[in-house]
This record gives sequence, structure tokens and C-alpha cells, in this order.
Amino acid sequence: MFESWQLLAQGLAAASQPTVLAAIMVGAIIGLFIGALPGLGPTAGVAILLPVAVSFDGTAAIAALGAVYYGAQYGGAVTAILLGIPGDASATMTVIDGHKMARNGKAGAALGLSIAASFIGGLIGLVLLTAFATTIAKAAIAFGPIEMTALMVFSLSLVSVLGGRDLNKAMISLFLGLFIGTIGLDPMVGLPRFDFGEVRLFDGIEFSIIAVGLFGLAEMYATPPSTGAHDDSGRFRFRELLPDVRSTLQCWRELGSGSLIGFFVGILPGAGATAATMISYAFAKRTSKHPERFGNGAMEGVAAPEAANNSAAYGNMIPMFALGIPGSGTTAVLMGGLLMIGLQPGPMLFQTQSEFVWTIFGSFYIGNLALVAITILLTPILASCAFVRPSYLFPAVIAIIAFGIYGINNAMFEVVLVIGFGLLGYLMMKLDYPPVPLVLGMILGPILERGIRRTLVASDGDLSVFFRSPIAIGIIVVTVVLLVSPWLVSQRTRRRAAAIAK
Amino acid sequence: MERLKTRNGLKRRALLAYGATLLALQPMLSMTAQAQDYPAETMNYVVAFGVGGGSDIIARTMAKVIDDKKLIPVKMLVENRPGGSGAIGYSFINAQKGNPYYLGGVGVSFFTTPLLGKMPLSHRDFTPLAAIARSPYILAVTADSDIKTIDDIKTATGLTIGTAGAVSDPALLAHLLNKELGASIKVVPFDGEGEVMAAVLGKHLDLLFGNPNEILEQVNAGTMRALAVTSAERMTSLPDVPSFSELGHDIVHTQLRGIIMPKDVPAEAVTYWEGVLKTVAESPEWRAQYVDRFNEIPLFLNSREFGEEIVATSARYEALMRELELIK
Amino acid sequence: MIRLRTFDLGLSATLTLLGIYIVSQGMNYGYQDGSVPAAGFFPFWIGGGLALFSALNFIKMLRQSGLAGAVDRTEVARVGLVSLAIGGFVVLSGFIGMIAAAVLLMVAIGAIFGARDIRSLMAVSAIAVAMAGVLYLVFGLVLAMPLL
Repeated sequence: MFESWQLLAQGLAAASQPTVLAAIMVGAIIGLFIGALPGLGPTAGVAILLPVAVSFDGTAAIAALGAVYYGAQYGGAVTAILLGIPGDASATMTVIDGHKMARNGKAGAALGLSIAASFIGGLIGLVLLTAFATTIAKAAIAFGPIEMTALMVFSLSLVSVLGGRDLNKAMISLFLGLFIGTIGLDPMVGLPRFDFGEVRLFDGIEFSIIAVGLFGLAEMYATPPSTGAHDDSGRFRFRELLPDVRSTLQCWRELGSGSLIGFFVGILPGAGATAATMISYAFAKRTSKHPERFGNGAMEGVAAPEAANNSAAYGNMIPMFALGIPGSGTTAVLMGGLLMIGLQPGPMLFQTQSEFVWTIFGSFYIGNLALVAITILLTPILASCAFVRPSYLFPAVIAIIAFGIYGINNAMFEVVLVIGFGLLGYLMMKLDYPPVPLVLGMILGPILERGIRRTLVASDGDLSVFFRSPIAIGIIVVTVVLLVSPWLVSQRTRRRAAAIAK
Repeated sequence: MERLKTRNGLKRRALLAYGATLLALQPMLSMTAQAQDYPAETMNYVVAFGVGGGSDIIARTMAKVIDDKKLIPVKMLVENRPGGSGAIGYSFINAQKGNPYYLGGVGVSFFTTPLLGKMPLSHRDFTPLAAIARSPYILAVTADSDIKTIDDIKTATGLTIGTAGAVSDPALLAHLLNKELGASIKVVPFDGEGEVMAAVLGKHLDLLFGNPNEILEQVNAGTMRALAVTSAERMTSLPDVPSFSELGHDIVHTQLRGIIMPKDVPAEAVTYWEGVLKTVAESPEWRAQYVDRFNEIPLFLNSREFGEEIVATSARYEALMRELELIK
Repeated sequence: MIRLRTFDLGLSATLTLLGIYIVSQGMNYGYQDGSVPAAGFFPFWIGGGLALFSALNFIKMLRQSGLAGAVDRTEVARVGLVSLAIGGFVVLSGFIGMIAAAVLLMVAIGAIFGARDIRSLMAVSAIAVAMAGVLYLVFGLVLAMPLL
């Protein structure tokens, strides 16, 4: 423990060299910017910068790539709040309350809160990463197919908390998402499923296409056009563009729980970060005294998931640094970067390249501080976007969307898909189908399917293995409690109400 | 004439020591190029996968070596066209029929995606240029496993093996292993090497076929034990680990790091690139920056030899996919 | 005005059919392989769930009015026009290039969202041209994407 901090101090010093500092700043700004572009998330950001970065000195290269990663997390929240488009799956939950806040004229407060949450989440994640990186890596591998299956069952059961008013419609949305998740090559036998004869669907549908269509376009469709000169949406008070410190501090509980949930769930390879944001949002809603505020612009609804996804980013790096196992698309590209500069991430990295690792960790601290400064300065400018009239704002946004989505695979096919998901999203919005369960199903369904099938292939179809893992049993018990407790509570209040009535 | 000159040059080069030869050959190569006006435009290396993956690293390292050594008189751009399990990128290269300014790398899906019948192309729709390295696979277990040798696998029951991908080299090898040993190891496909490694380290699986690079890292850290390698001979980096063939098992399968061009390119272009790639394959830069770094086996195969290997590999995959009932 | 209930009936019916289609495809892919679930196992249950819940919603909508609201025809028209505009961008990009197509797309979107008088249209055109420059700079040069 103590040794870790000593090493970190050296790392911080090494990361303060001008070249590394410059790399951090460049990476952070590019990341912020790419994260804010709808359609492009941290994975795309790191991938775009990778070929350029690796031609520089190794430490500076990885510091820059890391900065792109967490910079994009900050930037993703900006788009999620201002435009209602999650740039990355893990920003989905931020849209729900963040965008509502912006529409209620509290764009500045929402942005400020997301910056604070990103910073606090990032800091807690970093401290945990610094302190426990090597020991905690073991926790990541304790999760095999059986445990992942249980965790996914639990995460999917969150639909009962995240689903909105009409549970039946939430289930339709969930199953639609599960279906979208099955499109592409079957993970176990390689058979193409629901490809409709189109090879471009072999790798499935990219999340950002769904996000942009379902959230972004749908939202714009439903916005009434500006009425020219009599438009009063341009009037706002300057104070509304500024972050609100007091209300940020009020969310300390959600910031804390979000950061911790984010870190520990984020460690798990797979969809750790997305599951983490959803679990932390559900946890915040469940433990809140005013759960009805969630979904209508609750500060806590921004604080919890934003803290979680930034914290998860560092949790996610643990298996990569300590075991050589990339836990997400972004860390996979980052690991490609490490390989290109001649480092093999894995158990030996901390021993043979200790100085390098700690310099990188040091650079993360510096980068997070820099990002807070940059984003707070930018907040008033960004927040004023929320007040630009649609006839001026939407053309630019739709053009950026078209280019960003084209950029995923350098193809127009994805842009056509976006139109379709925009229409679906619009219908769902009008008809009160909640979009979050669809994301839940689409992201987590494939992990559930892989978990179940891998388990059963290994056990030869024997289902009892699910009940032989203590971790899995624990998670299933929590799931049952989650599903049954609201029913029990409502029974009790009904009984109590009946007693009072008597 | 020009072709002959290059061939002779290459033969001579093989006889001489590296440095001197490279100096001697370089002006010759560029002379050849000038005489034929090829290449006169920027070369485009199309990677059918995303940035940071195995195919991408090969492409960029190769481009860097070519650039550093100034092996070609024009620029070389590496471009990623991912999607459709490689189908998008390979279709793109194929669409440049006869155009000798496009290059591509050969990965597993170069073989498997066409076999699935979903890409109206096959390996016959490309021109093989050369292979510049070879990567074997290593069968490994965790360090505290009861499995100490290949023979232990035969006697053990209920073993599981993880593979990166449903139809992939490790999957092919896992099925071969079952066949050769008469064992019934259950093959569990995962999405990538990292996931398999995590599952084995976490003791959710027993065995895996891994890349030398990732296995060596674990072996050096004392967390894993290598049982056998799939190359014909032992690897220099793992002198104590036997090869399957040496143990009397007919399992020899390695991944070739090869370069292709679209169909119908001029023969001069093929010869030209055979020369360039031979220089790359035998250069100390390539050895240091790719082969040794990733613990692969140095190698050079010319267009014809590489073409033969492609046909053999494709047949091996076809057999596996028939066995898995992916194709009928 | 179009009643939302009509839309919901249509959507639920479509999704019910989609669910049934998924189940039938799932059966084609194979439900089980020996004692182990095969490629169609998951689609089978997903399709079943989708069909079940969609059918339930359909029945619920038939029985009661459910959603009382309605959508303005102009809003529906706007949704169609925006989709068409983006579709037009996709088609035009192949002929006149993405940058030029983007300018047209942006002017069209501006007009759809209320910029109908000359002054607003001029403003939108100016924004569109400036934005096209930014797009070229960012996506074409900085991010080095092969733009059409």
C-alpha cells in the first residue's frame, strides 16, 4: 500500500515532464472533443489517435491515449446532456435526467454536476487503481461464464426499476433490445443470424447507431420547429449557464455509491462499464426518498451514472495492465498501443516496467485535473447550445451525426440504419415505450447468451453448475430480493393503510 | 530483363551478410522501380480489421520498416476498413482488380468468411505476394494444474478448452487435438484471446491454445505452463517445450503473416513486392520490431509457396467447418 | 391529427409478427445441439417474449383506449421529411460528394425546422457552408476519414 503511493509520487513527477504534460493535454482535448461528437466514443477516439501516437516516445504515447479515453468520458456527458445523445453505451443513463435538466433550463447545472461527478468518480477509481491494481485483478478472473450469467440476470432484472410506468412496454423494449443483440455472427458456432443477407451486419449493430437514432434523432423529431422572430427560447439568464456547487454537494451519496459500484463492476471484462452505470442509477433510484423525481431531471440521476462510468474506466484498465486481458473495446485498442510501443501488458508489466506503469498512472491524475479546468471553462459556452433555436442547431447536429456515423466503418450503410432507428425511437417516445430497457437488452443480452451457452457447453448441459458457484448464488439472491421487495413493501403499506382505515 | 535482375539480386543477397547486402540491393531495387515506373503512386495497405488488433499491428510495423529503410520510392498508407468479419475490407481490396497499388494482410477470416458463403469471394480472388513471419500456437495450462504433459490429457476426464472465436485457429487446433488424442475435451468458444486467458487463469477452463506472446508473458510470470507447440520444431524462446510432431502427434498448424494483392495485377508488381517483402522479412528491423517482439518465427515464403500454403489452409478450415456443420 | 392508439396498435401488431418471425428463424438455426443450447436457443426465447408482450399490449390497447393523446399531422410530416433529407444525403453523397451533400442536407433540415423566410434561410445557408468547412476540417483532415 505505502509503497504504491511512493511509486505514484515518482510517477507524478515523471508525468510532469513537458513532453508528457503536452501529450496529456493534447490527448485530453482531443478525447473531450471526440467524445462530444455524436457517434464517436472513446473507442473510436483511441483508435483514431493510435497510429499517430505510437510514432512518439512510448510513455507520452500511452499517456496521450489514456487521456483520450477519459477525456472522451467527459465529452460524452456533454452530448448526452445537451443533445440527449449518448456517445457511448455507458453514457445512456446520463441522458435520462441530464437532458431533462438541460431542457428545463438547467444545462449549466447539469454540465457542472457531470464534470464534478466525472472528476470524483475518476479520482475514486484512480485511487483504487493505484492502491489495489495487482491484488484486485484476481477478482476480475473470479468471474467466469457462470458468474457472468448470474450478473447479467441481475442487471437485466433492473428493468423493473428502470422500466418506467408501463412494465409491459418496458418488457417489449427489453426484448427488442435482446433481439438486436443477437444480430450478427453467432458467438459460439459462427453462424450468421438475422443478417438479412447483408455482410455488414456480421459484426452486429454498433451501439452508437442505436444511441443516435433512438435518443438523438427521435428527440429532434419531436421538437416543435422554431417560429421565427417570436422565438423566446433564446432568452435565458447567464446564471443558468454556470455550474451549481451547492446542489452538486447535495449529491454526495450518489457520487460515492456510483464511484464504488462503477469501479467494482467496471473491473469485470465485458460490459462492465455500462452495467455499472445502470446498476448505480437503479441503486440511487431505489434508495432515494423521491424516486419519482428520477427521469424528470433529478440531479442524483446524473451524479450516479457519471461517477460510475468514469470510475469504471479505471476499473476496466486493471485486467489490462495486471493480466494482459482487455475488458472492453477501448482497452483492447489501448492494449494494441502498448504492444506497438513494445510492451506486453500482463503480470510481468508491474515488475519489469514499473516506472512506465506508474508514470502512466501519474498522468491519469494530472489529466483528470486538467480536464476539470478545461470543461468548467467551457461550460457556459457549451451550455448556451441548449438555447440555440432548432432551425439553426439541428442542421449542424444532424450533419455531425451523419459524418460521425459514416465514420464508424467509413460507410453509408450505417447512416441508413440510423434513419430507421430514428423512426423507431420516435414511435417509442410518442407511445411511451421506455428506450433504456432496449439498451439494457442490446448490450447485456449478448453477454448473457454467451454466459449461458459457454457454461452449458463446458458442463455438457448440466444446469446445476449455476448453483455450485457461491458468487453466482449470492447474485441470484440479490436479484430475487430486488424483484420481490417492492411487492412486499407495497403489500405492507396496503395492509397498514387498511389498518388505519379500520 | 528487369525481372531477371531482381531475382538475381535476391539470390545473391541471400548469400551475403545483412548489412552489406541491403546496401548493395537498395539502389538496384529502386533502379528496377524507375525502369518500370512502378510503383509510381502511393501504396494503400487495407487492413480489414480495426486499429490496434493483430492484423493492424503487422500492417503498421511492416509499413514502418519499409518506410524507415526506404524500400519503395513512394509513400505507403495503412487504412482500416473493418466490418463484416473482414468481408468489407477484403471485398474492398477485391474491387481494386488489377490495381497493383493495393495491399492487404491475410487473417483467419480471409479463409472462413468466404467459406461461410456470405462473401462472394475466396482466396482465389486475390494474388498472394509473400509471407513474412509465422506464428505457432502453444497449448498451455495454469501452473498449478494437474495436467503436466500431453499424455495427462488422454487420461483426464471432463476437460475444457477455450478458443478465441468459434471458427479460428485455436478452434481448429482444439478439434485436431481431440481427434489426435482420442479425447473428448469440450471446446468453449470465447470472443477474444484475452477472454480465454481470463477464463483459464480464473480456473473456469483447463486448457488453451495461445499466441506465443501472451503465453510467454504468463509462463515467465510463473502463472502458466506450456505443454506443446504447434510448429514443426521447438521454439527458440521455449526450448524445453516439445512440439506436437516430436511427441508423435500429427498437429502442425501455424498462422502465416502474409501479404496479398487484388486479382490480375501485373506479374512485375508481384515480383517487385516479393523482393521488397523478402528484404523486410530478412531485415534486422523487422526481426526486432515484429518477429522477436511477438515471439514469432522468422520466415519468408515467395508468392508461389505462399499460394500453396493458402490453398492448404483453406482446405483445413473447410474440413473444420464441415465438421461443425457450418457448411454443408 | 392521428390518434396515438392507432400507432400503438400498428407497432404492437408489427412487433408480434417480428417475434413470431424470430422464433421461426430460431428454429431454423437449431434450438439444441445434443444437450447444449444451439444458435437458435436464444432467438427462440427472445422472439417468444417479444411476441407475447407485444400481443398483450395489442389486446390491452384494443380493450381500453390506453393512450389518449394524438399526434399532429405536421409532426408526422416533419419526421418523414427529416428521414427523407438524410436519405437524400446518403444518395447524393455518391454523386456530389459528402461535403456538398451536407450543405444541402443542412439547409433542408433548417427549412424543415422553421427557417422558411428569406432571412432565416440565408442564416441557415451561412451556417451550413461554415459547418461544411468545419466538417471537412475535422473529419476529412484531422480524423483522416476517407470521405466520399
